[in-house]
Amino acid sequence: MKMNDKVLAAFLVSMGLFSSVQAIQYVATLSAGERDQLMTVASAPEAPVVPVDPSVAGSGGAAEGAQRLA
Amino acid sequence: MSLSEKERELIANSVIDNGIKNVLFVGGEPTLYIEDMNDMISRFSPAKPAILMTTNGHFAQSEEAAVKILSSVSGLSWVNLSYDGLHEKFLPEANIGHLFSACGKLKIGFDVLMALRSPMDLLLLNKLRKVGKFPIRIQKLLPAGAARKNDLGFRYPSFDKKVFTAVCPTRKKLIYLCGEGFTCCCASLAFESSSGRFVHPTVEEHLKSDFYKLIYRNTLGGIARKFGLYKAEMPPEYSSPCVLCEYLFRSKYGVEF
Repeated sequence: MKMNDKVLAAFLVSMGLFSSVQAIQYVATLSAGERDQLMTVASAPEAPVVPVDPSVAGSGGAAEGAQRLA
Repeated sequence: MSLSEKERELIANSVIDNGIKNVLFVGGEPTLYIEDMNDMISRFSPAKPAILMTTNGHFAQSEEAAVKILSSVSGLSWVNLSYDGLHEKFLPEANIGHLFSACGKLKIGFDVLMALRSPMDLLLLNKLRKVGKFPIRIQKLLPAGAARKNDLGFRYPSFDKKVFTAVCPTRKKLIYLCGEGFTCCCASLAFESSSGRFVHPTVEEHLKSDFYKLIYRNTLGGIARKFGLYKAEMPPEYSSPCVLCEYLFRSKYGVEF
C-alpha cells in the first residue's frame, strides 16, 4: 500500500467515517484523481472538524439537530 | 405544520419539568416560523434553557439580512448551518460568510453540520475553510426517508462488527415531533413507524417505554442477542448503528413495526 493511501485511510478513520479495514478497502476503490482530491483535504492545515454521532437521518432536520446537541 | 396550543403547553411544561438545559429548533426550516419559535421560547422562560437553531441559511443574502433574522429570535445563543453536497446546489456560497459574520457580530455561536453521502463530500471542507474558521461537524447521511428513496445514504465497503458495541447515539436526547410526540430516536423508527412503540405523547411515557429502556440500557449487540438476531456477518450498510437498529426492530416486530 502506498504511503499516500495509508495517509488517506488514516484520515478517513480519524474523521470517524470508517474502521481501519473499511478505510483501506474504500481507498482502494478510488481513482488517482479522487485520491489526489481527498489528499488536499487530508493535508490541509488544522481546522476544527468534528466527527459527530455515526448516523443522521437525511429526511428533515430533526436528526441533524439532535446530533448537533451531541 | 403549526403547533396546537395543547402541544405548546405540553412542550413548555416538559422543558420546565425535566430541567432541559438546551432547546434546539430544527425543521424543515425554523426561520420560517420565528413567531412560533418566540412564543415557545417565552413559555420556556422559567427553565431558561439555551436556545439553538439549525438552519439552511437561505435568509443570509447579506450580513444585514442575517443580523435582522437572527436578532428576531429571542435569546438565540447558537446557530448551526446545515451545509453539504445537497444544500450546495441551492445555497449561494456567500450566504455562509454572511451568516458567520452575523453570528460574530451578535456574539452567537456558529458551526456547520455536513451530512456526507460519501467521503468525497469532504471536498466541501476546502470551500468552507475559505469562508472562515468555525467548527465543522460531519455526519454520515442515513438512508432514511427522502435519502432512502433517492439512494443517497452513506455507503460502507464492508460490515464492521464493532457496530455491535455501539449504543444509540441519541439515547440521551429528546426530540419532539410535531403532531406525534416525544422520542429519543432521530431516524427511521421515529419517522417511519406508526405503531406508537417508538414515539410517545409525553416525556414520562417515553422514558418508561419498553423501547426506551431497551435502547438506553443495551448496546446494539445486546439488542441483537435479545432479539435472537445476532450474526457475525451482516450487509455493509448495517455498519451504521441506526440502520442496524432499524433492521433489528423491523425484524422483531414485522408488520407491527
